Amino acid sequence: MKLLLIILIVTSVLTAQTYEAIKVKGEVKYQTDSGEKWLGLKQGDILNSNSVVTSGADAQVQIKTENIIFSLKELSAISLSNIKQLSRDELLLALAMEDMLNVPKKNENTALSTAVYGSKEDGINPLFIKSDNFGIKRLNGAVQLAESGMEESAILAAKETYRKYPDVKSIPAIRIFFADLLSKKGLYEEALKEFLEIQTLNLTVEQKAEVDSTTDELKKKLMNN
Amino acid sequence: MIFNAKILSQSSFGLTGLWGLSSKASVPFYNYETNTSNFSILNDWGISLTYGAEFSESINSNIYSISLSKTLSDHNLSGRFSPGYQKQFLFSTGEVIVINDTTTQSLNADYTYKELFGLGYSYKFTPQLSAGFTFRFFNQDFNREIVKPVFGDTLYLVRENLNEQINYWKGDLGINFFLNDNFSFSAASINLLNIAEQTENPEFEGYELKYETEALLAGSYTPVEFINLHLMYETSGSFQVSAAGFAAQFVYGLTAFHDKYQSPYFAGIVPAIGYKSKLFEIFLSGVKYFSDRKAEQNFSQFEDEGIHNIINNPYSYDKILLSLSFNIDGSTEQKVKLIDVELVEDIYPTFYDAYVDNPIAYGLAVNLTDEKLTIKPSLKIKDVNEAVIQSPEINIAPFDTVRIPFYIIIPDNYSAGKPVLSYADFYISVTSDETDDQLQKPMLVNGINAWDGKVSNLRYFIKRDVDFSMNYSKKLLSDNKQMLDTLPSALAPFYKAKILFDDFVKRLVYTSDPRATEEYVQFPKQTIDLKGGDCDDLSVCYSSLLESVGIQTALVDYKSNGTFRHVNILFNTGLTPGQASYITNNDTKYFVRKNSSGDDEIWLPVETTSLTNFATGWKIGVEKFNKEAISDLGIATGKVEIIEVY
Amino acid sequence: MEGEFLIEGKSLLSLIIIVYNFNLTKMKNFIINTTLIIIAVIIYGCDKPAPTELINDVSDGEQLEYEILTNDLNENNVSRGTDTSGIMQDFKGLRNIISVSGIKITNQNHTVEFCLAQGFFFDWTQPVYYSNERLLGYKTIIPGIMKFDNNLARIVPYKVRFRDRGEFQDSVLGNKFILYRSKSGVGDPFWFEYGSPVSFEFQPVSGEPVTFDIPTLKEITGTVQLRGNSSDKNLEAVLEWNETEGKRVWLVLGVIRPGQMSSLPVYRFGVKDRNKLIIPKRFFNELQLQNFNKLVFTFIRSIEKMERHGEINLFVSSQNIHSIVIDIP
Repeated sequence: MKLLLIILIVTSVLTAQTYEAIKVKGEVKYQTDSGEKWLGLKQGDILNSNSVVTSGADAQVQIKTENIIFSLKELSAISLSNIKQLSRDELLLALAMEDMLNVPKKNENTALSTAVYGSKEDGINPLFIKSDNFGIKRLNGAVQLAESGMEESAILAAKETYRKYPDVKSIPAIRIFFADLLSKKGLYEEALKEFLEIQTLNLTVEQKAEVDSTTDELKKKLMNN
Repeated sequence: MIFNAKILSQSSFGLTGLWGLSSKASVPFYNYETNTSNFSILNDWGISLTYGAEFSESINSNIYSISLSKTLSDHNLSGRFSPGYQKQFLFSTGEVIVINDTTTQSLNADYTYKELFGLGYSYKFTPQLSAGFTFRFFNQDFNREIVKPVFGDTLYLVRENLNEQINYWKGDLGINFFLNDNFSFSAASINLLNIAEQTENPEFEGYELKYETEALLAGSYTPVEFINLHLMYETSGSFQVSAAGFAAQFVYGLTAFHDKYQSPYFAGIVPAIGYKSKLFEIFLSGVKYFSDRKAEQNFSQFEDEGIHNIINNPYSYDKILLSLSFNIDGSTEQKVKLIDVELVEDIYPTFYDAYVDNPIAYGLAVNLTDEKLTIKPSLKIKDVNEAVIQSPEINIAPFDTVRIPFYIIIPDNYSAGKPVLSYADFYISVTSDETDDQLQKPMLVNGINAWDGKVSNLRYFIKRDVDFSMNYSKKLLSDNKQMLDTLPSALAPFYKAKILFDDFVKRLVYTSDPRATEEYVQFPKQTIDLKGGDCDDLSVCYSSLLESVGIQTALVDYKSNGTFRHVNILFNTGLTPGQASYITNNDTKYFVRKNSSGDDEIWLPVETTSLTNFATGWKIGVEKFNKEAISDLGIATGKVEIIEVY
Repeated sequence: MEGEFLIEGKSLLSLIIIVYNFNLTKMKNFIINTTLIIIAVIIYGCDKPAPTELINDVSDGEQLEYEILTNDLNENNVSRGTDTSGIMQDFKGLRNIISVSGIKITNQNHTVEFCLAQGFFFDWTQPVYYSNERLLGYKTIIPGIMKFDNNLARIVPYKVRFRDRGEFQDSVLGNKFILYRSKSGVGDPFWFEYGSPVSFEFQPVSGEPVTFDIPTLKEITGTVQLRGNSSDKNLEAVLEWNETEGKRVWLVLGVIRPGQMSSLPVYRFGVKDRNKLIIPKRFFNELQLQNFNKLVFTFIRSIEKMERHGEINLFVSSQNIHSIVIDIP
């Protein structure tokens, strides 16, 4: 039995990537290997892809893996396995997988999340929300992924966060941000699906206008294809 | 007054001619004369009637015979009532009473020979060889005037009628042999067994039917259907030859016979023509003699030579006969034929409903009729099914050939652990009473633990033995009742799963090769009794335990392009994503799945082969799932598959 | 008859057509329909096959004739013939009779044998009647002399005994010619061998003499075997004789009362010369055998012919006779 465990663990370790915390500022914690505890992250620590890193207020951490250096700002969280460049195809596959994860539908009742969240906007960056809510922290992390150029991964991270923290789905600005990303990546159907859902959220007038026009554009685009 | 007339009972002449054994018409076989062995081509009941007219001084018509025949598998039994088989002779006895010089009174006699009825039995040993016997009953009715002196006041002579009825049974054996399609042979006895009453009156001595034992040999040469040649030879020297044939629905033939006791050499011919339909046959035959039968016949010739055959003798008249027979012949009614059956699936008895939607075989059925037919296919596997299992009805257009699916249900109580080579009987029928055609194919029925390697079929193993799992789980949970009662109900599934896992692994001693063993999966009870199993067995067992207490599970199939393949499970905690923190702080340890109503639920992966504890099993399951299913996009690429258990 | 057959044939055919139109895939239907047809046909077609009438090509000479000679068994010794053996020949209708007989009588293994030659000439102008005016016979005359094998026949009275009005009467109807000799040598010098002809000569009073040969037949010798007995009513007799020449043979059965010498002939059977005859029981059972103590079986082989010579027609009869007398068992 133990041998089995060792085999399983070793094989996963052997193929694992390593992530190094090259700069740590402030309170940064991590969970690893399905552990329940949050452990303090110090500069120089090496983590594996099973790890999740979170930053407190005013904290920051730079993580290096292979040829990517990613900066995680304050009040954000990220799964280290998300720090990678994905191809568009991989993104497509991953998006397709979304539905496959679900139990096969028997009826079409897609209950949309009805929880309404106040859109907490920061004056500087409306896409950054200060909160201790882990879901929001993850979203922040996802946005940062996108800003770092790993837009595909960012989309996936966001999607995963929406799944696990359905409440955060009702934050319009970030939702719109990621929906735009989808559109930017040429994934019009996915984008349209998002925008249609966004239309049901509590939007500002500007947001609404933007969403509506984007929705129409997407519809046209899709019809022409 | 003692005459020595040779009167013999039937030898081989038949009123419808000589047709050999290859006849496709059944009428000739009702003649015991040519068919001593009671050969029959019928499959079931047959009834026949021969009606004819005789061209004597006037035309006399009557029923010659009525027969009934029944074939039961390889046996045939028949009976014939033959009122027309009789010959009556009227003559002066050659005695006179002298009354005075000018007046005499001559005395007359009236002898009637009859064959009243006969019975036949035959048995088909092989399609080529059959044998049988016939028993025939004859009656002789002798009436003769004799001189009787009577003393009243004076003595005078009167005529008195002396009558005696003498009965006679005759039994004969026959055997038939089909050498091949072209040749067939028969041999039979004539007058082999004779049980005869003797006459009490000397006046009738010498006129009774005599029975010289002879033999009969016959052969047929049937090169083509439209002309066949037949020969029948008796050891007494008489014989018959015929040429007969079939074309479409018609049969025709001409028989010529040589009777030792008749002249000319070919005493006569029997032409015959018949028409055969599915249901009945109608035959028209005639007997034409080449001598003048209406000419006067002398008593002295009768006295010297006698007769050897009641219906064919020097005193027989020309005849014309109409024979009808009705056959219930099952095989000619075949409406559909099952040409072939192709087995497309192996049978895994545990996959109880797999073959309800997926046929295990396809048959090729032909509609032989000119009308649209609806057929009901059905199937029965020996030692598996007690009764036939019906498959849906299929319509077949006239003369069309269709591929029909056969479905099967394996009964719940099938319990053979080892594979069994049995056979399956496939039936198709048009009416609900009878089967029109059937085929048998050998069929391998796998043992109940057999598995085809598809993880989706593991659910059958999970769902079987539900009682055991339920009792087992319930017992385990009831031992922890106190703890469970204190929990909020939302957390119950999680904790139940934990308790069940911890107990389940405690009892297990080993894990065999964690690679999924195709072909064999243990039932939960077996895994627990054996205290171990491979990843399929353990996943099946754990899933079964969870399912039996209402916790939804799914199997995760980690395929690989090598030989390393693995199965573990996912179970549904029933918690919403917002409730995740009740069970873990680490959001990588669970997965959110929308249920069929669209609600998000938290599912946890568990590695069942980690025989440590629930926490470890969960951890290992999570890491594998995260990496291979999510990160490596396994679910999208098909390398990882989630199979619901339902 | 022909028309009948056609009608029956048509009805049969129409029945067949009706039946065929039914849906006969079910057994019940089938049986019902078939039974109906059969019944119909049985009703229609119940002639018997025609009998064959065989022509009786048995010539008269070969038929077996049965005749009663005496129907009143109470008659006593009515002798209508002339020979002492009591054999009858029916003389009615004959004008004259010339008869040559070779006779054997066997009685308890003792056989006497003798020859007899007789001649009668009847005078039809002198009939003799019974009292009830039934014809008894005619008176005889002697119109000349007669010789057999050159032996002159004696002339003796022709006696008859008959029963009239319940009483026996003897009467002489005239004279007859006779020659008689027994084998032991008693009698006239006249003897003939069986098979060799007897020459005959008749010289009428007026007219030319008539001569011819009378053929004689081979000897007849018979045997009688009695089976059964009279009290059990199962008496029957098997008569056998030497068969020759295929000519007709007569067999006469007669009865003898106790104490009587002459017999009462009862039955005469005329048979083809076939050397055997069985007299069945029924012939004995009616005879009231308790009244008699002996039976006489007589075998007769005879030939008869008419000899015409000028105006004279003579009926010539040559007989061989063998009588066997047996006690009734």
